[in-house]
Amino acid sequence: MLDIRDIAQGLRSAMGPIEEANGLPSPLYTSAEGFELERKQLFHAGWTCIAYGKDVPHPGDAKPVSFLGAPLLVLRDRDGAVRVYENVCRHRGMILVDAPRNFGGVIRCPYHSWCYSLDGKLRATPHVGGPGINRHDSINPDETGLTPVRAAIWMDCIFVDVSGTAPAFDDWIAPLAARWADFTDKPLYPGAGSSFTLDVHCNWKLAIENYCESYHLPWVHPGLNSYSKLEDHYHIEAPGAFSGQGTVVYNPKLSDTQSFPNFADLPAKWDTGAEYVSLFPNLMLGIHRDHMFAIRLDPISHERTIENVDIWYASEEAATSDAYAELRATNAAMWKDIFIEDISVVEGMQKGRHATNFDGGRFSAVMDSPTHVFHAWVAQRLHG
Amino acid sequence: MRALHDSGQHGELSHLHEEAATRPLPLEARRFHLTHAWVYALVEGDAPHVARLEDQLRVLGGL
Ligand code: FES
Ligand SMILES: [Fe+2]
Repeated sequence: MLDIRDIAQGLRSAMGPIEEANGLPSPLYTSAEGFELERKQLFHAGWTCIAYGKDVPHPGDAKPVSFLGAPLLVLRDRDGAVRVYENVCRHRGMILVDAPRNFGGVIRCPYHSWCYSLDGKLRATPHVGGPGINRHDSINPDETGLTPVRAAIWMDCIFVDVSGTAPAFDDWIAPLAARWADFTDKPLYPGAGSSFTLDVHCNWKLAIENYCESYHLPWVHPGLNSYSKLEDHYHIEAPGAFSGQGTVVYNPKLSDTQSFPNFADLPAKWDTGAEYVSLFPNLMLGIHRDHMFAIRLDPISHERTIENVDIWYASEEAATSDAYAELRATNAAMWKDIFIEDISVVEGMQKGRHATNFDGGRFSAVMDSPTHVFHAWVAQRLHG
Repeated sequence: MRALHDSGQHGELSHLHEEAATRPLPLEARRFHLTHAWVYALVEGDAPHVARLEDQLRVLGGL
């Protein structure tokens, strides 16, 4: 059994100055106990992205989510607001919804048919007082609704705080919202045919730490490096919140004749600028003048992670029309190729983490600072 | 009725139960059918039908 004391020294080291620090200790990559610790102290103790708004586009749409084992239900209510509940009946604890679907009326529990409206209220308790008697004084519908989970939506990403004790969402997201204020007030249109998943055999943290540094670009992404060189990148560091990298030469040529429309009223710096940020713990975002992508990590176990990729565009036409279908497909394929190039290194690091004497690794004090920011965040949250 | 249970045709099910409740049955049996008619009307999201069934259930002591 992993004891926090066993890795305490490694956590302290990860929080130290980058010149002296080691990376996070390997039990956090190679053991179910390490994963359990992170579930409690990272994922279930603060804001985490669990779905996209586009997953529940219409009123009544519902999507069950297993959030590191916690059953949640994401749904869009009749007014178009996204709500998240515990996906469990208040009667005997049956799972309420087992597959994505739309609810025209109430949500009926498949067991004894207690019914809940989309605002979470307990709407019916058939036979609860005996056959044909549908109420009982001991069950107060006002106190027996679906259990709401604190939720927020930002840039079409749905976040939850199952602990209920994290800072207010607006405060939590403020540093990144300020950084990307040029985009946050613009509507986003989910691209048709622009979703894919990658099933990766690595700890979720390896995907984050690889994503937030540009050091590997010339070696792992030679194609990308041909137009976006290492020296064209800069670090992005917001200790305690996010880290990543930006480029000043974003200008891919997807087609000779066509390009996507840009988001409205962007300052000139975005003409050739793009930024790639890991928002801790599990969301990797890319922002460009003409599209945004998100890679939401669903950690399945300490050594398996699903990457859920989606792309959003600046107009309905760019996102859904046939006229842009080929360009969308080209863009999605370009990103998919790049993300696939990363798989061999994150899976390779997962294997490497099993080396008995590996100390978490050293950092380049110049090139690895975004990764160090992430490690220090994890260590701080686990160690306190 | 069993086939309908699995088919997702809740409006249809609701009406069948409501119809069954109009037969000359003991009060308990009618209330039982109306309860099921009500639940399936709720699932269907048919608000006027739900309201009508709730009125009937109240009269029979089911709500
Ligand atoms: S467990 Fe849901 S109605 Fe009984
Ligand atoms: Fe990469």
